[in-house]
Amino acid sequence: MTMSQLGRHGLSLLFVTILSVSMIGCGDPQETQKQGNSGVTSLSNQMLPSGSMPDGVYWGDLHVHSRLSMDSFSFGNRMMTADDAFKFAKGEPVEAHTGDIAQLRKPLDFLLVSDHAEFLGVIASIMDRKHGIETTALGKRWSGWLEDNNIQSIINEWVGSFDADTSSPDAKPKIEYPDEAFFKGVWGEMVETAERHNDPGKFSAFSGYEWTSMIDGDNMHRVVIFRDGAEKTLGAIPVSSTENSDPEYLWERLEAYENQTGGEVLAIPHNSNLSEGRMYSSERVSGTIFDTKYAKTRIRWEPVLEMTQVKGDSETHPLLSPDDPFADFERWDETDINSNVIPDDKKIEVYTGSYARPALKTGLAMEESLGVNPFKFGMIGSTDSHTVMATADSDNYYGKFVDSEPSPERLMSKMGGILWNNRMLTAAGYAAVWAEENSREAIFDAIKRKEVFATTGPRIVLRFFGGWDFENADLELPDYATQGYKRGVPMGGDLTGSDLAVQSSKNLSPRFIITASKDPDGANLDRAQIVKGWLDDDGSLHEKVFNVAWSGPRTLDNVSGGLAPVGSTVNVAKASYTNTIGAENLATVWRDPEFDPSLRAFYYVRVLEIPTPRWTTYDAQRFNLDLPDDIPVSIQERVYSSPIWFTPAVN
Amino acid sequence: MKRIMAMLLKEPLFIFVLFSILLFCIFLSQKAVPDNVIIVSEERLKEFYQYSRQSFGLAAISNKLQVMSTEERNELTEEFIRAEVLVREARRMGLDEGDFIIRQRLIQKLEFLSDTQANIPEKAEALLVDWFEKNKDNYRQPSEISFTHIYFIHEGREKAQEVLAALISQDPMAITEQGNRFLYHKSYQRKSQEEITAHFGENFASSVFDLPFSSEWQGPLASRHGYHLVRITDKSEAQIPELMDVRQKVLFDLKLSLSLASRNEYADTLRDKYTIISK
Repeated sequence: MTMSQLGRHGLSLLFVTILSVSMIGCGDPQETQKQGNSGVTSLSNQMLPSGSMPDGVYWGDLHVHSRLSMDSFSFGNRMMTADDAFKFAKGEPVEAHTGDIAQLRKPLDFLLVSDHAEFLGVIASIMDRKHGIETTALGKRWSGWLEDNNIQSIINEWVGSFDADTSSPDAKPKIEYPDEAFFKGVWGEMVETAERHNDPGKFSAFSGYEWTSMIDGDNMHRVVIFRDGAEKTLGAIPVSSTENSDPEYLWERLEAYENQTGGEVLAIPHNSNLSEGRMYSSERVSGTIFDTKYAKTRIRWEPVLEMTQVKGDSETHPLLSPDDPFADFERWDETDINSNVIPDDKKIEVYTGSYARPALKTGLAMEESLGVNPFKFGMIGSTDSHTVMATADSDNYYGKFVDSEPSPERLMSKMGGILWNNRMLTAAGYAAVWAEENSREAIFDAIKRKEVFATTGPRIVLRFFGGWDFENADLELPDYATQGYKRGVPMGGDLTGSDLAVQSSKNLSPRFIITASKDPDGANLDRAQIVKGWLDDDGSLHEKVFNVAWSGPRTLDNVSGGLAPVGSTVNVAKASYTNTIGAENLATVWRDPEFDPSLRAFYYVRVLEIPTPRWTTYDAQRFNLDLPDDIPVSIQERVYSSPIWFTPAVN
Repeated sequence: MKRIMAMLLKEPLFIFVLFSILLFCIFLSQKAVPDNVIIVSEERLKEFYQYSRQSFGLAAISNKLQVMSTEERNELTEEFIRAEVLVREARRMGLDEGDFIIRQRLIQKLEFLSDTQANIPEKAEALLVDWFEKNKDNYRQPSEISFTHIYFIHEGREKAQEVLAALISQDPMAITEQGNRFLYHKSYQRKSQEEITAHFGENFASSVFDLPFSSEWQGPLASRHGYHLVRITDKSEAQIPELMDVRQKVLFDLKLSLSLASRNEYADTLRDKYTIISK
């Protein structure tokens, strides 16, 4: 055991050495740094160790549950463990609950098994008679219900405990809660599993968990991800929202972890679409308004949002983005996470706090008043699968809970028997990360500097740089990315009005390099778009979508800038499509024609695939079923980059 | 006495007679039940309850019938009778004939029966080491490669050769900014042939794995995108893992193979009872 570990570390050390030697050939790194910073201030660039440059995109899922999660177990996953989750992500076959042999077509590069901290592993440990839980009053009571197959009584108790009273710091959950020794045992197992599967250079296995706060049914969930290995994480027993459901409390605990261990940790929110406007509300949970300290703290701990996953896409909403023909995508907008219906007259207000694009806009206004943008976040996707199987491909989709694994019933069944229709689930998403190598450290650091993008499933390779002097000719360079880093900033970075270039020429506009290559095994690309949001000098917020690169002989409408649809090759009956339309690769340098150097703005890229069958269409074909008419037969899968922000010079 | 018993037990005729008597007794104890009689027994009620509630093998369920109120029990009995009547009538009308779902279900049940009789989990544990030894080629972990490359478009073959010559003679001008923009990555780390195929196509993937491991630039290799100069930074040969590292996967495969074998064997035995006529 020790020998093989030594061997593994030795190998990765050797590999890092080779890598750094090969980098020397690429020019003097010090020199590059000097030239590259010609006035461009970028957090992103500064945070990279000098000389190294992300040259690979790594694909992963930072949000998967195993039987240790209460809901996963209660809804039927009695056996599948974190171990199975890692194996599946690495491309090995596992046996699904339906008896199918499930396997990814392409393995992932990293994974975080994020089991719910609340009652973490309690019911699974009761079943296994482990960690002493079976001898407690709770253990005995639940054990009895488990034997009676009375899962509902167990569910009632743990669900009830989520609406914990946060009014006082020592509020307790409504039922007795297992002691720390128990959770130490469960967490120890989780950390050990991640360590065993971590294989630097090949596969990164993160430790972490999900903090599951639901205030009045508003989804405030966060996935907590550690950069560190067992020597630091082992003592960091997951923080439960039953202690306190205010994210500010979670951040305090994360800070304590960093102070105590010298390690690093982040929180990643998800399903803002089910937060009833609370995730990106302008008020703190306590009801007070934001101040500068809060804004700093928030963006310190939450640099990215998981904005696409099985429970819908959180980019934007048609009511908020009426001019965006692609805004109506995989919506889960009728209720909050507890199925409380959102009243019609509240929709605009609620959605403004629930979706990424309006939140990015709100952030600009907040920065104007607070000096710090609390919503300056990048974007990733993940699945939120509760059966350990991290699938996001429409033609190989294993759903959320056991009841949405492939079967002739899942088109008509409801999640957990009573919740949403399973057919509403989205076959999404993954996190794409630009990093120097496949290691926990490199991937974590990329997330922290927001050099990441979200995909609804397809592994479209997207690069995005912002700068002042990019030319179309740069696209012909083999190392255009080197130029991107030298003369600009990558996705997640900043352009500012104090950049030398802007100051010396008032007529400059930011220019962006955008390249997108299709998933080698997937559909062609329809178009690349830039979504711009800005804060006007009268305090109003605006957004606009620009079509910047597209396939085939189409031209932009002179007035609206609109572009005709790419068409469709989808055959619904056969659940098929052909790559006879669309492009393999889109690349352009785009200059903002409406730039005003005195206004705050952000720019992010959205790339659309040509239409392909939705997962439900594959199901209908496979099981010979009629398709319900409340779901689309085809969708345009997409990737979203993290934004690049522009901040005017301080006068 | 003991010796006589032992002798008798070895005598086939004795065993046969004993067995026949036993069978006859069982036969006598059975009274034929007419088609239109439904017997409601504790056992059948319990079975019906378990199926209709989809819960099996739990102690609480077995006791459920005892603790039921008379009202609940009568209701359950009525449900059971109704179901039994419908099933019998449907069978009488031949509705089960030619129903594909029922046929599949019957096959499944028989196969399941064959699985349980074959003691697969125990057998699999016992056979594991030998079976892995025989099949370990299937668990070979693929060869992996790490490399950087310089890409040239389809028309750029000559240019690629020039750049290669410059690289070999260590002309510093040749080292940076040569070639064209590639769709995917500049370097690849620990990738299998399958993964390389996804980005470059099959020809390139097999040629790059055939290159000798050397720190020199090599090529140009053709791919579906054009040509590539390649420098390999790491390469590992395919290897057979230790059983302990792949135990669960091997066990899973072995069980699957045992169950398939036992199902086939069982089906063959049954098939021997039939005469097949082709028309």
